[in-house]
Amino acid sequence: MSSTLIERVLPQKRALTTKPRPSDVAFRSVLNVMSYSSLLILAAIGGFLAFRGFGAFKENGLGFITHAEWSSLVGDNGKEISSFGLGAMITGTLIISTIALVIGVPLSVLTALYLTFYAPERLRRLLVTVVDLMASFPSILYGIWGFIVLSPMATYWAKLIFKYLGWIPFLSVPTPAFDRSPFLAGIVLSIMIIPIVTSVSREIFAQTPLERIQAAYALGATRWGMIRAVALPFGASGVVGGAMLGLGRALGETVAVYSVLNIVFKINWHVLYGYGGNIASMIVQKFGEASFTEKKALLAAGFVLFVMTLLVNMVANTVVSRAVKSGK
Amino acid sequence: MMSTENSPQTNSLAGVAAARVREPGSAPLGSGLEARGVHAWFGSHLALENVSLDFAAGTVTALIGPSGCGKSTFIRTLNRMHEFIPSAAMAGEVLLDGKDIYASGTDVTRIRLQIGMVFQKPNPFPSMTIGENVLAGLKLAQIKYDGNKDDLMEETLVRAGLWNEVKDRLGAHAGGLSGGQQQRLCIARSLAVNPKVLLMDEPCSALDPGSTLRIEDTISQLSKTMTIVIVTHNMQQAARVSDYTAFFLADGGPGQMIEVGPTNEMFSRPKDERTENYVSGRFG
Repeated sequence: MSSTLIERVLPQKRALTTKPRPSDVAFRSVLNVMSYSSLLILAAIGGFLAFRGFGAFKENGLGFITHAEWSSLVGDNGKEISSFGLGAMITGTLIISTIALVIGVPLSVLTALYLTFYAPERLRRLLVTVVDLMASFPSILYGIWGFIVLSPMATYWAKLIFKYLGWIPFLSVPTPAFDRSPFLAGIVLSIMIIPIVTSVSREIFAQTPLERIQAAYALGATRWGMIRAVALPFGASGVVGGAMLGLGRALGETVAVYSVLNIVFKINWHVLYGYGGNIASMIVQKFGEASFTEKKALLAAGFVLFVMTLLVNMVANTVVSRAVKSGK
Repeated sequence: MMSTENSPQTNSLAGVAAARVREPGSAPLGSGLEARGVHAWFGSHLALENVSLDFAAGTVTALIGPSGCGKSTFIRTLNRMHEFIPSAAMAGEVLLDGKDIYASGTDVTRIRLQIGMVFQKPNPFPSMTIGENVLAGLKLAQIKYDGNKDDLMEETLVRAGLWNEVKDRLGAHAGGLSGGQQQRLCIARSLAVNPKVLLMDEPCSALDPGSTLRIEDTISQLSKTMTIVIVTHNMQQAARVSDYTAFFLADGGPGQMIEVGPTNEMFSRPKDERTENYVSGRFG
């Protein structure tokens, strides 16, 4: 066999080049600078937070993440005695965000399903605008509304939940104090993540292949039957991605949580009980009056939040883009 | 009907057609499907004008004609799939067993259970297994099936001519099947809800000749027990599978039905010159 093999002489592959015109070179470099600038800014913020907060990481070690206590006292000798731990704030952030997802995601998915498959065209356009408007609403307004309007209602609901489901450990309370609880903060946050989760879900559902929708209807499917068999399986990964983008927003929300939550540096698993934590709002609360060392610790806390949010958003973006691309 | 493999097809089909000849447009059938003065619009554009056509129970009718002649639009009015297109409208009546399927108070999902549809592009549900696809109709329409579901699955897959190829992998995902197998799976899926009428909108246009033959064989088998309407671009296919053929044409204006008759007559001595030109391949 090998004797019949004739060695072919192939030419060298040529480089495919072109001499760009000066205008193109200029335009391209401008675009390059623009598009890398956001990356640079992000890196600069991250670097700044890490650099300035480094001292706090070093002094508190792993305790910075695990310990709940956050105190800074000036002793008799004028020296500062401090101990900074983010434990309560990290758990608080996660708890509040989870509550926000548990309430907000089903609401958003149902809204998206309604908008995609049920709403008449005009109403759909109106509702889409309204939902998008919710996203651009300043968060302090959500906070004020949550504090004045929602808070009494949420306290009442919390009492009801405690009455009937209080036997579940995390729904119990040590003493009947239901005001300014993680539950309330979670509800406010859930409303704030509705726009992003709804619009991502809506976009995915709208891409459900028509042929599959028709296949379901041609089999005598009810609309709900079609949604269950076709739209939900198709949109599932997109909804997950949307929920994670919502989580990204929930993790970093500051002002709204600050206005409704009673921030206390103690880990609180009782979601209906009247205190909790959230990294972002804690920074707001402390920053104005912080001493030099505490400022450092707050910047370090900012760095922790920065990393958490970045991770969640990166995962979310991957999930969403995969869902869109695969089209299943 | 004899198996299509060991008999000269045109002759046997001519015989079958002759045995079932019934003047279209005659008195109401009472059973089967009847279209009466069907018009269809997309927005303000009239796509189909005044089509009246009877489909006697147990016959196969082929709808032929050049692209854009309204034959797909027409078949979609027969099970109310037409109305899924925004701004679509229709006039006229479609009677199933003598009852207008567009009458107010009609449950559309019930109608579509009785008038099944197979589409141009095979469209199994990719998130379901082969077996789940076959039984999907029961779930989608929320039907309580009293019998044995495994038996139903086997029976419909046998009728669709797919059983032997998939019986060992009913739990596999439907996406792994070939195009022709997927299309037969879609046929099986339609059969599982036991429709009286099966509409097929160019079911073989996306398939290779081998798969096409298998599906045509399936159609001949099915026509013993149900009414079939098939849209096709392929005139040989119309000649092979149908008892009746209706020729549609849009001559600049809305689509119209030019002529309908027993398939052998339509291909050998059509009454209208335009039909003659089309079936002899002079245009289209």
